[in-house]
Amino acid sequence: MSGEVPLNQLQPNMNSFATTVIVLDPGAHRRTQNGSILTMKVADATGSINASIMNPEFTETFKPGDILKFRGAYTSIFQGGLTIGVGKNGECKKMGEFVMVFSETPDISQMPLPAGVTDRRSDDRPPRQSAGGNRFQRV
Amino acid sequence: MNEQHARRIQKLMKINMKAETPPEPIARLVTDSISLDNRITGKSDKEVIDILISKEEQDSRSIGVMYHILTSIDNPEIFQKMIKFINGAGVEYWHYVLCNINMIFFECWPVIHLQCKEQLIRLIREAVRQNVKQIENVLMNAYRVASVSADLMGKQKIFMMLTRIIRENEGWFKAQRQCAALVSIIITSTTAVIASSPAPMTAQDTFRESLTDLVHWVIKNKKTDCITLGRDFILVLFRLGKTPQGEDIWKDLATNPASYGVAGIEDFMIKPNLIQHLRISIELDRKLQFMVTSGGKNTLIYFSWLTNKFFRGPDGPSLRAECVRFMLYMNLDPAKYPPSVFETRIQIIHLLLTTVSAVHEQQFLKLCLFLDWFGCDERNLINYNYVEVPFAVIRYALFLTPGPPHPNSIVQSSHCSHYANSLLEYLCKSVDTLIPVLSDYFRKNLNNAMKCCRDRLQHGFSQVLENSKIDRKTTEQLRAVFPDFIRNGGVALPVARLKKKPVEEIKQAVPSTSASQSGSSEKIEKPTEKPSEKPAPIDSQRASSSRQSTSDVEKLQKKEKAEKEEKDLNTSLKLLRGEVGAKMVALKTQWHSLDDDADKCEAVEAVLQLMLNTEENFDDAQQELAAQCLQGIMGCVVEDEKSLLPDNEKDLSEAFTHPIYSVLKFLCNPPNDDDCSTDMMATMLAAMREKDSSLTYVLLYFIKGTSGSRSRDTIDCYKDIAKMSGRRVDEMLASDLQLCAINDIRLFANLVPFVFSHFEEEVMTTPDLLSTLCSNLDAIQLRSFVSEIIREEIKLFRKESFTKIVMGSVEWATTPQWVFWHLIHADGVPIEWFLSTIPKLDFKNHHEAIANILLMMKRMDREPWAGLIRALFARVPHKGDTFTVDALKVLIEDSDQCQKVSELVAQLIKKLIGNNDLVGVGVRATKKGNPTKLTLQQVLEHLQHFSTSCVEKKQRSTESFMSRNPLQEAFASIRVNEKASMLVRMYSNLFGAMEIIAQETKEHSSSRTLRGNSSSRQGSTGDKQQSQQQSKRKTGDTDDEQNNKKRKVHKEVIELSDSDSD
Repeated sequence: MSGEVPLNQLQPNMNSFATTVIVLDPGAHRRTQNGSILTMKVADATGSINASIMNPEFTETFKPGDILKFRGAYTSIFQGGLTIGVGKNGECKKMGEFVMVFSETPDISQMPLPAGVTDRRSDDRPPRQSAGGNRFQRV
Repeated sequence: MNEQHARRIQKLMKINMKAETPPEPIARLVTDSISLDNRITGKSDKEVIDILISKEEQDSRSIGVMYHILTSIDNPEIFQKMIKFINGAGVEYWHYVLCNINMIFFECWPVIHLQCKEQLIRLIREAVRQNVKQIENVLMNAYRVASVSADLMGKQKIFMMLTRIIRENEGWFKAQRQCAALVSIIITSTTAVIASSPAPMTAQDTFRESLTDLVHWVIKNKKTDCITLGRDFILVLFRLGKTPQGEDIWKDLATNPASYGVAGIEDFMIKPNLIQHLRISIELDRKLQFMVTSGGKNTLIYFSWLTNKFFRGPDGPSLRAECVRFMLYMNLDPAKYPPSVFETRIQIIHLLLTTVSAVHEQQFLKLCLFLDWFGCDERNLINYNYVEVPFAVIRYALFLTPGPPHPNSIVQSSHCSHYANSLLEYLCKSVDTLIPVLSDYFRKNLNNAMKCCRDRLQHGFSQVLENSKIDRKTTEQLRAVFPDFIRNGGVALPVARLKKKPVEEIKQAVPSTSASQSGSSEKIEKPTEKPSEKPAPIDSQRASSSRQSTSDVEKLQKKEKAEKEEKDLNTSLKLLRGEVGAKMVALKTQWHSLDDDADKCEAVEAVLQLMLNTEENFDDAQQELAAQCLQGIMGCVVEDEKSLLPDNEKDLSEAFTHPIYSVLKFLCNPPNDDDCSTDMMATMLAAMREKDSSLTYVLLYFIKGTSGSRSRDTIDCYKDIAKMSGRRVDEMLASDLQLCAINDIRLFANLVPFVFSHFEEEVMTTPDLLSTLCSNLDAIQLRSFVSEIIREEIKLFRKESFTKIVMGSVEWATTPQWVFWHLIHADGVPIEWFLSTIPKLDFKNHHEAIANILLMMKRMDREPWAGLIRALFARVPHKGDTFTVDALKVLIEDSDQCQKVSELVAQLIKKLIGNNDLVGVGVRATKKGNPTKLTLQQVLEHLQHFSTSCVEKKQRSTESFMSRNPLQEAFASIRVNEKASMLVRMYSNLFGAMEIIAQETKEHSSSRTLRGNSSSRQGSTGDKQQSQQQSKRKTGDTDDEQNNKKRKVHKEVIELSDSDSD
């Protein structure tokens, strides 16, 4: 897929798209079984969404207000909400800072998914019973 | 991008190439440098110069040269070689170089290494040494960009280098003819750095001293250029504080103002800064411009980012001051930008001011905000362009309601109306303390500014100065400084203009001026609290002179006013025609010779009778003129600090003796009872009201006191006047009562019950009148008013207009709202009336209404019903909003009601499933009049919030509620509905909790059955738990361990909603 996709046009299971966003919450690196993951909250003029960078090649986090360009990104369902992912075939780079219009709402990761779309992982196993997890989840 | 590129980019800036794309100008510097190197490698100097000056790709080559200059800190030979190439390429080639320097200032400065910045300054130094044409503009930009830096040490280093350039080239600097902008920027930016630099710890630390010397030297050598800064030059002198250099300039300015091209300090104050737009760095300029034009509702977030980057360091406060001055002068075209942009500007200025913590910095920022008010001299009309924004900041602060801090923001809640008060106090106090010898001049200018605001803002102006959030103390201070703008000016104290002080006195005044910002700004805040030990000759002389002159001034003012009124009266009399005119002149002539009020009344009545009977051409214009003449002759019945009500309020027999009541009598009971007479009297009263707006509340008082049972008929006269004046009755009533509350609070208390019992229809439909009432009632009046409501003398609220009134009331200040809710409770308004209000109340702002509705629900004496439950769930869920949760908790407290609530919630859930209203939160409805559509997801969201917040409480009513059969069945129906499966997953915590509670209940009931507990037959978990608790009380804490275990299990389930449900 070519061209930039605004966040509100993201659909589950999209691949290889590019988008430009601004960092609202830089999140943190977390270790996983397969490496590490950087989760953060990003936004553009059409809404905000959770984003995950898989196995980033850098250890520092971005700053709030950094403008990032995702290339080769994909969408997935994580914890019942839509999430942008950037894997080994993708790229996430800072392009600038501050001067980008954004909107926190709607929070696309909190929006109900279209009918028929499910979180494959949650189909496979029962809901987790312990604390922790997605830091952006609404209470 | 190859390795060579990456290496060169890293020589210019700190960058992680895996996480960041270099800015385009940096990439260009690198690309062009590689291209240049490819062309010049192995070439002789002459050949290189030929390549540089060849027209082909000249621009690109010069950028390549810049790269080598920037990166040659460890290799001075390359630097020298590049200078040699530039010089070899000729004078014109320097033009390209200067353009490139500017490009780097504009696009790359914030990101390049300090060493690169130093190299750039070295290049400027070389250019100055060679007196390159237009280098002064580049030097100005250097000062501009250097004023902002995240690295304080780096900033100091750059400023030292820039200072050295000026000092080494003093001759060049003095010889510059047109360098006012450079002079101004050097003065403002260097002074800001001085103000933010720490005091030297050692004798070797000469940074601050050398910068202060530079500013002093620049001012002394470029005196006439200082006028470019206008009143900001005075701000600079305040910044320099009590340094010897600063005092020397104050003295110089006082003794020899002509050398600065001015006649005195006033000439600086009268002029605005002409280069305000250049005072902050390009980066900061761009970000502020962006915030203003595009920040919108995210302004707080942008501001928190801005603060993190620029305002956290020691130079933060001085940068804020620069930003405030910059923002005030920001040129925003109203044709190009929507009004929200102007609001955003005000919000940013307010944030800049309120988020600084140090008191003395706060004071300086206030001075920055109001500097243009102090200089608002009417001789320079451009000054009026800069007075509205500071007033808008006061207004913004006054109406700001504190909200919870944004999760992404470092900005905490604001000072709101307290800050508005402190701004006004600052204005009032600093008028005399800022520069004592100019206090009269400042007072006049402040009044000019205030007048300009009043003329331009009109209603918005009175909203501020007459706002109930302005403290009484502040109002008194305002009245002293702005006597013409604060009503009921009994203590208006305009200070008489003093003669100009000789130069020696100015010298004495200077230290106190500079002290106002050099860490002792408390002096401005509390000028009278700490009298100086030594008597201050100027101030004491001024004070005594002021006291002496006060009464004279008052007399003078009264005399002037009387003269003006007399003149107006004579003019009007001349315009009156015929017999009425002659009679009026006669009345005026004999007025003062009439003995008492009775004679005067008789004379007035005779004139009125003549008017009503005259057959001459006595048209509307003549009627209005006659009314104004009559009013001029009779004078005003309302006197300062004297109530119209007699001491014995019940005996009004002697109350209506003033001649004005004769006019009112003719209005209410015209001798010729025809429409023509009534119209004429109404026209006259409307004309009189234009001059004296207190007249209509006097009319209300007259109607109340004289009409008795006929008062409902005579009320029509009041309505006629409103109609003639072109105002709505409720509008006029609100303004009359407000004025009455200010002028005569006793009369206000007396009139309010009358108004509310006689103007029912109008009162019911307007929140304005209620606002006036609630803002002005004191405790005794409130008690009396409540008493009248209870005795059914007054019926305040009606169902059809109630929602409008409540939604209007939430915008009022807290105290009037409290009074309003007292009245609601007194009136016995049922909870049913609030159904349409409940979904609309904003949990962040409408605290008073929310608290009171909850209390009403707690005291509610009827069973819950479907409408109430629907209204509660119709609120858009938000994690900070506990209204629905609290309301549910209130409703289920009683075990009988609990069953009913569970049935209603279950019905609602089933209905939503039946209607297929499943997904979405806060969904907009298509149906008119119903802004949002209730969905199952919204109900579940509330219930999840409820279950997480209300379990594990002493009464365990939540668990009881959730275990009720109807609710369990409703949840079961959600589970089996395929379309709602996504909701089951999304709210898995809630569904899990429901299951566990159901299971727990089953276990309880089976164990009780086994033990033969008869209460289990009742099937109510709540009752079981209550009896459990009772037995527990009896048997002590024997079951504690068991209960704790159960609670532990339950708690784990509830915590799920806070955790990852994956």
